[in-house]
Amino acid sequence: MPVNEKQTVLIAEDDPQIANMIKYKLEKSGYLVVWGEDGGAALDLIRENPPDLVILDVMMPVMDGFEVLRALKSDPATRGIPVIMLTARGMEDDILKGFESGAVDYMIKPFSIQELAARVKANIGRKG
Amino acid sequence: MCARESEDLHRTTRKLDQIFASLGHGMYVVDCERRIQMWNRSAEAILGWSADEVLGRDCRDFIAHQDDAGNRLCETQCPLAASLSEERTIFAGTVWAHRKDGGLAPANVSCVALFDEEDNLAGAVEVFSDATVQKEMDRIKSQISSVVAHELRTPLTAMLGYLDMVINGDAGKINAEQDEFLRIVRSNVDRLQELVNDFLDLDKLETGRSVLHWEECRLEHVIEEMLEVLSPVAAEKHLEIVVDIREAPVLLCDRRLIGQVVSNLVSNAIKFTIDGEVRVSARGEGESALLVVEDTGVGIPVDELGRLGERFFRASTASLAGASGSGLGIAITREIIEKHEGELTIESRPGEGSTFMVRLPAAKRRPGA
Repeated sequence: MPVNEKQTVLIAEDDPQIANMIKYKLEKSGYLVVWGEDGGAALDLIRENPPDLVILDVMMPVMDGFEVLRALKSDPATRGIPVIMLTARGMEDDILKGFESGAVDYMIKPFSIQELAARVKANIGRKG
Repeated sequence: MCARESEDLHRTTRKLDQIFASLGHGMYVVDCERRIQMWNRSAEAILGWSADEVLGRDCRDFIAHQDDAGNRLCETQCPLAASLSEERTIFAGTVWAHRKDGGLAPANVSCVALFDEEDNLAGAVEVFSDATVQKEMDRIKSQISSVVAHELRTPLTAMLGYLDMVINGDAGKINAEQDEFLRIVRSNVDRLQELVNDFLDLDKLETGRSVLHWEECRLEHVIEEMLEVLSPVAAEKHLEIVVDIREAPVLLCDRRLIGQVVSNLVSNAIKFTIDGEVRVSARGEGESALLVVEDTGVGIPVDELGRLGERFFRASTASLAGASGSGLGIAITREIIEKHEGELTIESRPGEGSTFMVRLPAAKRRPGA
C-alpha cells in the first residue's frame, strides 16, 4: 500500500443515520469510508474495490450479513478482508455463527461508537 | 333392583347431570369408537353445537382437533385417541377445535380414559377451556417483545453513538456546561438501554430461546470476577463490600448467566443501601453451592416479598434509596436460577436490610440429566 493512501472501511448497514454515525467517526479517525445500504449493494462495492475492513450489520434487506460474509469468504479475492459483525442483543447465537463463518470481531447493538472505532483500528491490518 | 335403590340411582344420576351441565369447562364423553355420549352446556357455548346435534356422532366428523400449523390431529396425535389407546390422562395443552360457525377455537384440552365396572375401557372424557384470551395475550406479548427488540434498539444505537461523539469532542469542542448537560442525557439514555436489555433478556429466557452453555465452574471465581466490576460502584457510594468466600462444590452452569445473577443481586444491594455495607458470601452446603448477598439497605415490606420477581414490580421502599431500575432484575435472576434447578430465598426487614440467598445444585446433579 502506498504510504499516504488512506485505509478504506466499508459499512454495510441499512439504517442511514447509524451508517452516517459510523462513517463520521471513522473519517475523523482518518479512514476512507464507503457505505452500502443493503447486503447486495455492499457486496457489489466490495468486489469492485476491496476495502481494508468491512463492518457488516446482520439484519439487512436483500442479503443479510451472514450471506454477505459467506460470499466474501468463498471468494479468494475478498477472503482476506477482516469483517466486524454488528449483531443485536437477544441474538447472541449470531456471535458464534459469525465467528464460525469467519468474522474477526463483533459488536452488540446498541454499541459504543468509541469502542467500534478502537476495534476497527485493532483489526484493520489483520488477515480476516 | 328394589325401588329404593332405583330411586337412589335416579337421584345420583340427576345430581351428576346437573354438575355436568353447570361446569364452566366444556366437557364431552366419547365411547371407544369416539362417538359422543355426553355433551355439556359449556361445550355448546364454546363450540356452538347443541347436544341434540352431536350425540351419537363421531367427534372426528366435526370437532376435528388440529395443531397450530393446521395439521389435523385425529388420526395421529388426537389427545382423546391417546387417552383411549394408552389408557391414561393426557394434558394436550392448546389445540384448535372447529366451531359450528366454521371458525376455529383455541382450547386447552385434557383427556382421561374411562372404564366400566369390570375395568374394561369404556371411552374417554375430554375437558376443555376456551383459550382465546390466552392466545391473544401470547400474541400481544410476543408482538410487544419484537417491537421492543427491533424498534427501540436502532434509535438507541443512534442516540448513544451521536451523543458519545459530541461528548468526545469529535464534532468540535464543547464547554463545561454543555458537557455536564450532555452527560445527563447520556445517563438517561443508559437507563433506557438498560431497560431494553433487561426486557430482551427476560423475554429470551421466558420463551426458551435462550440456549444455556453448560460448563463446570466455581461460584467463587464468578463472584470474584463480578466484584471487580462492582466494587468501584460501591466505592462511589462509600459503601463497603465485605466478602466471605469459602470453598463450594463445583457447579455445572452457564457461567455468563450465573455471573448475571451475582451481578444483579450485588448491584441491587448497592443500589438500595444508603449507608452501611453489602456482604457477599459463598459456601458449600451438602450437594449445593450457596451464594448469599446481604445489605443494610431500605428493605422490602413483608407483604411485597411475594411480588418480587413480577415483571416491572418495584418495592414501595425503592424510592427511599433514590434508586432507578427497570423492575426486571429479580425476574431475570429468578428465571436463570430456575433454569439451573436452583432456589432463591429472600428475607427482608424494612429499614434494616435484605438477604438474598441462592442455592445451586453441585455439578454431579446436572439439571435435566
